[in-house]
Amino acid sequence: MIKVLLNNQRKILVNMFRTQPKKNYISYFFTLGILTVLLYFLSKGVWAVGESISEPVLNGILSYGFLIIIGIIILLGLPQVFKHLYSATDLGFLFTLPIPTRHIFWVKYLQSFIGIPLLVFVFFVVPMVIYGILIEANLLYYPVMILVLISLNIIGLSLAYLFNLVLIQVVPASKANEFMTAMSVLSGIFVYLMFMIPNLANERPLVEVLLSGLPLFPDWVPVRWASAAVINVASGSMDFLLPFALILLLALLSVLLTSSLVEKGFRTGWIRLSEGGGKKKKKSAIKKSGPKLHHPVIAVGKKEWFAIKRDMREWLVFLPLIFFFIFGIAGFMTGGASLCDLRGPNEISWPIAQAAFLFTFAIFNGQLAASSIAREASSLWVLRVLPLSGKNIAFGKLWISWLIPFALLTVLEVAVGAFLGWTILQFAIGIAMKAVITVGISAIGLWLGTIGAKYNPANPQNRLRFGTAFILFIASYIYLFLALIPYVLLIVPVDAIGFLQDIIQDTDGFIGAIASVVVTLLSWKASSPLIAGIAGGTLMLVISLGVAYMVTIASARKFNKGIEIEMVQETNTKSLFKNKKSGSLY
Amino acid sequence: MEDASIKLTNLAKSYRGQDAVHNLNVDVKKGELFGFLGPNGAGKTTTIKMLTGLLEPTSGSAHINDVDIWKNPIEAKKKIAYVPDQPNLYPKLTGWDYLEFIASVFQVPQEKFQSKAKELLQIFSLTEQANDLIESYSHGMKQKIAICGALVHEPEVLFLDEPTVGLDPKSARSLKNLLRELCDNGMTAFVSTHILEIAEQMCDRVGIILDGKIIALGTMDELRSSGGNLDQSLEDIFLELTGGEDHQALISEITDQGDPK
Repeated sequence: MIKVLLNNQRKILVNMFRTQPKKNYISYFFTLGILTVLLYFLSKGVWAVGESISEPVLNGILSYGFLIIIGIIILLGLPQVFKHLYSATDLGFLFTLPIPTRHIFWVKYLQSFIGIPLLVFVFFVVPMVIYGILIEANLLYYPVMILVLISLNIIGLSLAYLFNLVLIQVVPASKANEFMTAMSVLSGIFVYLMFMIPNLANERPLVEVLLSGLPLFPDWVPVRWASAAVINVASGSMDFLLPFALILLLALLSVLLTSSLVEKGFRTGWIRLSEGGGKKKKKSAIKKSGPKLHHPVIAVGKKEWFAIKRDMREWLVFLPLIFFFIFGIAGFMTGGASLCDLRGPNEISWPIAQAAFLFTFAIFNGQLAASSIAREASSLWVLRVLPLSGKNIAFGKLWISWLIPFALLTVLEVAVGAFLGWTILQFAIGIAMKAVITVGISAIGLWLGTIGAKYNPANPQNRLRFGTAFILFIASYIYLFLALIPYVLLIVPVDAIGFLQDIIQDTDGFIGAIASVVVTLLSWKASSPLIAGIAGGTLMLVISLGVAYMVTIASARKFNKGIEIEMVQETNTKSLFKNKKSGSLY
Repeated sequence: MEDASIKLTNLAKSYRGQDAVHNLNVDVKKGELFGFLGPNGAGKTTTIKMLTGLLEPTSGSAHINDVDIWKNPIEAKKKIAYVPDQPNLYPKLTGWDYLEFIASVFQVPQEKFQSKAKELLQIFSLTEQANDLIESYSHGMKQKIAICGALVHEPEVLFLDEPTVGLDPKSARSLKNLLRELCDNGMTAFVSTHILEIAEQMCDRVGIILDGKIIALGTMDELRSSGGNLDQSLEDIFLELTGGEDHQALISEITDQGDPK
């Protein structure tokens, strides 16, 4: 039966490629080109330094590299595995056929190798073949090395499967939508801890240990077996046999362990997820507080807020921020420093923090606003049929997309500022300035969302077409650069001129040019601070509110004309709109 | 003559040169319950989408109480409500949140909304589920909350696309009774359906569309008399006009041949 299923998959794949629009081939070609270039440079690097790497150093590099294989497959392969196991559209059909569940599982398992595991495999096997040729490795090196890499792929993939199969039994079915989020967070922590093993096992920093040829891991850690097998076989030593056998055995065991959970975790898990919520609230009558009706602009924003508040996946956009802070501080603490070292004169800490916060706003505001368009997905018809003008919708979406990151980051800023001992005036100026500047970023995001919205039910967080996401990234920073002018006039102390002049002397190019502009602006500020302050404030208002208004009106026009959301399907990408001109979902 | 609540003038839609709807000319009077019938792919949903501002006509116009939906969409949309055949609503809103949203958009007074929403939820047996997220609703419940949302602001004109699909018999009956009552009180309803019994029992007038063209239009009596047989049911008329009788004969022939002698 597995053969029949695989044959069916092959036909689907062939037909999928045959029916793809030509532009997809261009993007494949482009991606392949980038990967080839990366692989070329990686291989060239191996060729250049390969011979000078001593065996103990190589042992460390390989062990850590093998750990990366497992880590990447778990982290990036998890969503793929989830899709194969629980959200593939063919499962409902396959489970009605007289096919053993185990057979369906193995086909899905084999399918999972195409993707991240294959990419990781290629990125390791090519440089390692180059290395083998360079050091004139024993002929056995090549098959052993390939089998070791395959084993590590299997171990990583099996762990990704185990995560899915075990967690599906723990997470309540009512939280099915949040399952992926919970798993991403848990796997992120797991992989982080995995990469921390060398830090925990050694007193000294990782790079220092690696270069001095000291073992990164204790001998019992499987990645050490894998590296020992590869290094020993390369030199023709038969000592490779034991670690090689052990790593193969581990791969086999991980597969057996995974397969033992198939019946419970796969089919019943899929059934649990398909059942959906099913939770019954205890006869919760209509709200006692009475209805809360609002102006349409507020109502549109409130609707967005409910969608964000009630879906854990929506908060994923802020996950990098949490990782950045938690792991950043954790890394700082494990590096032997204390939090008090961060404290300094607030004349320095405040402007630096303001710049950091503006940078963070540039990432989140645009993204959140842009994703509010594709959030409508198949419910877009509701807005189209209601007597809402484009302005109502655009401003409704704008205020909430601006307010959420603003509120979150302001809380964070207050905490940081309190710790660093900022003055009340510093708080007030910083928060007010960012409140004004970030409206522009949100408005740009919203407008780009109306142009390049995309909805993928399997990946609901990916809500912008690639090109649009890239333009948003660039546009946010261009806007921020413009906003830097009033920022400098209002915030940076005149004393910073000396420091900036040092930068100009030491650096040229883009950074040097920016520093020159900043010095010029500060010189104006030094000569007439009041005028510079007024000019800065006015310019900031003109730039941010002007940009925000113009771009939001452009978004409103797009809403009036009809928004087009590209609906990504399981095997194909096509627009739901039969009539592109109308831009309606119907 | 009484003004038409819904007026289709040479309304047409084509996709890449293919005509989906040919110059439709239909007037639906105020307070009328109009049944819009036709086989699959005849152009019913396309027509309704053009009437509700979801699809731009290739030519012609659609007026709602004298307001052109494409020239003055906001004004026209203030007068209408629409319930599609597949009500994709906001999954993360509760039923009550959804009604509040709709009422906010239509600026319904708070007290009026409170009583109207409760009444509708009661009629469609949704009171206990009103605070559950829409994502947990069945298809029929989504359909019902969409109907509640459509009626909560007391529209002048209501468009329903296959409203009874997915509804349980009790809710279907409630909807039929409610529609009749609302139309008797002046609301205009434009209902597309496949269930001919409903059309026969409820509708004041019926229009049958085939391949994008109106092939029959009138009251039940008018349709019967035009066919020359006053005992005909709407099903007979429909099958006769849409060619379904030929298919029926073919099916009978096949089953007769398959019968063991």
